[in-house]
This record gives sequence, C-alpha cells and structure tokens, in this order.
Amino acid sequence: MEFDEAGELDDATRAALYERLYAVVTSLSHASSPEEVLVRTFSEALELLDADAGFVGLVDEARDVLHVRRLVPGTSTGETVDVPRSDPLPIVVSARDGQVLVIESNEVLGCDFPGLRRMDPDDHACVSFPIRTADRVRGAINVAFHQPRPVTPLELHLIARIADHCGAELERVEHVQRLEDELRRARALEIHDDVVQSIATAKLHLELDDVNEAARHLTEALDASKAIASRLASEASDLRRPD
Amino acid sequence: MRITVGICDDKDAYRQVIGICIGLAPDLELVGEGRTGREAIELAVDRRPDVLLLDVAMPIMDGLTALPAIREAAPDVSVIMLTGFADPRTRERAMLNGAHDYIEKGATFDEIAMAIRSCMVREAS
Repeated sequence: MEFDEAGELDDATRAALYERLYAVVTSLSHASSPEEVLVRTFSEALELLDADAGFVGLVDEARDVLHVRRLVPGTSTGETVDVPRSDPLPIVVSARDGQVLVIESNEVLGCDFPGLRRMDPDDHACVSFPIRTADRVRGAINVAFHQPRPVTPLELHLIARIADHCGAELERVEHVQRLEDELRRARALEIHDDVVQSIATAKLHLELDDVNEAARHLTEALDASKAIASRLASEASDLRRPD
Repeated sequence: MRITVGICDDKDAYRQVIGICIGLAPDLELVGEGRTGREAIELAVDRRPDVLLLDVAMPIMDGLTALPAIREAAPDVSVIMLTGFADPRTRERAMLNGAHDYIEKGATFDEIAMAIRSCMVREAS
C-alpha cells in the first residue's frame, strides 16, 4: 500500500491523532542529542502502534552505511549494526530513496516488495518511514510486527507525523550542539588570551634583555591566571547542588 | 632595501615590543600600526607594507574578518596571522582566506622575522 492511498481521516480519528501526537512532540522536545531524539521517536512509535520491535537508522554518508539500532518496546537500548546502503532491507530503502514502505499481512515478507528481506526472522509486517530534515533524508524508522496484520490510515498518519517531528528535532539538537561548541570555544579563547598575551610579551622582552619589563608582564600573566582560577572556582561553586 | 612591516594588535604591550624588535632588525622597517581589523585594512591600503602582522582576536573587527578585505584591497600585501590560541580550524580558515602564514604568539622574534622574510622570498619567486 502506498501511503498516499491511505485516505482522509474523519474528525474523530483526526482528533485522536493530534492528541497522541502532542505526547510525542512533548517527549521529543526534551531530547538533547541526536541519539536521544531517535530513541524517543522510536519508543513513541512502538508504543502507539503496539509494535513488537523495530529499528531506527541514521545515514552515515562518509562510510556509506545506515547506522541501525534495534529497539524492543519497554527498553531504551538495543544492539546496533552498520548496514550497507545497498542492502535490500525496508529501512535501508526508506533511508536511501526517501520511500514509505508498508508491508502488511504477509506470511513471507516482501511479497509486495520483491527483492527485500526481513530484518528479523519473526517479522511478518512492517512500516518504514524516512526521517527528513530540511535538506535531505537523514535516516528512517521501521516498526515491525510479529503477526501478519493490516496497518490503518491512522497508524500511517501517526508514523508519518512522528518521522516529521523526528527530523525537525534532529535539526534542533544538532543546531544547539553547534552553538554550544562555539560558545565553549569562544570562552576558551577568552580565558586563554589574557594569560598568553602577557607571557608572549614577557618572552620578547627577555629576548631584548629587558628583564624589568619581562618581569612586569610575567606578573600580569600570573595575576590573570589567578583571576581566571578564581572565576572558574566561583562558577563551579554555583553549579554545585545545595546540601 | 628593507622589508616594510605593519602590525595590527589590540594588545598595546605586545604591539609595542614587536615594534621595538622590528626596529632593531637591520632588514626590517615598521611603517604602521593598528588596533582593530578596520585599522588593519586602512593600514594595508594607505601604507602598503610588504608584510602585515595581523592579530586574530581584536575588538570591533577581528583579524579573520579583516583578512579577505585586505587581500582584496591590497593584494600585494602579504599577511601573517598572529594568534595566542593554536586552533586548527582558525588556522585553516586563515590560510583559505589568503594568509601567507600563521604564527603563535609564543614564537621568538627570530621565528617571526623568518616568517616575514619567507613571505618576501615567496613573493619574489
């Protein structure tokens, strides 16, 4: 079944959709790393669909693989594996081609999609959705069922919206991480500069045999170091939890 | 014929001691000083030193921001970046934007002078 053919939802179903999505968005907005975004996304998808298991994968373009993590409902960890992007797995096809794949009610996985294989021997139905950011497909989620079963339009809409939010949250956490890296770097530069400048000046005065000026600038460097140590100690004290 | 040198650094003490060292070198001549990236651009355009020593971290406009403008307005001026913070990303950005060399401020004056002279040898070839 192609996702576009799932049909429009009635009002009651649409209301149920948005109610459940609110919980998903709230959960994802608390994620602080790409890994956490994916795990939370996937956990929400598994719970909403009452799935048996599934996979979430992020594209590693440098190595041309999909870094896939297997998750089981009720857990937050699972084994990981790097899968070549040419591998005939539903999640790989979704991540590579940006396709939505719905495989349902099949005794033998792949009868509607020739050339694909199961990720897990127990899988008898699955849904794979690409995870997109603004400029490209970043990966995919795959929700698997161990019994042959149909996938309802509501379920498809839910997974689609979850995948959309996952992409948006991936961009958010990566942007925040970049900003934090820049702030850390700028702070390191600021701290470093006062001390280094004075030492460099003292060194040049020593080359000129001007010991008095060298001593003056070394004292400045030492005073700057003390001020930095004091400031950092004060900041560390502020971060400590109250007793 | 002496190599003309300009220096832009917001740290007065460092800029002044470099100026003293340049004055003592028989083949170098200090022709201008500045404290900001904007002053560096003006120095490069107005005085046309052979080599400009340009600090990375300066107020108002830093050295990395001024560098492309200097290379465009005064392409005959060789630029050596000076930094107190050895950061590979900053170095890469400086070299990609046209800096001829990138020196840490812990360098001796001999090392700085050698870098200045090397610029002229590269330009001559």
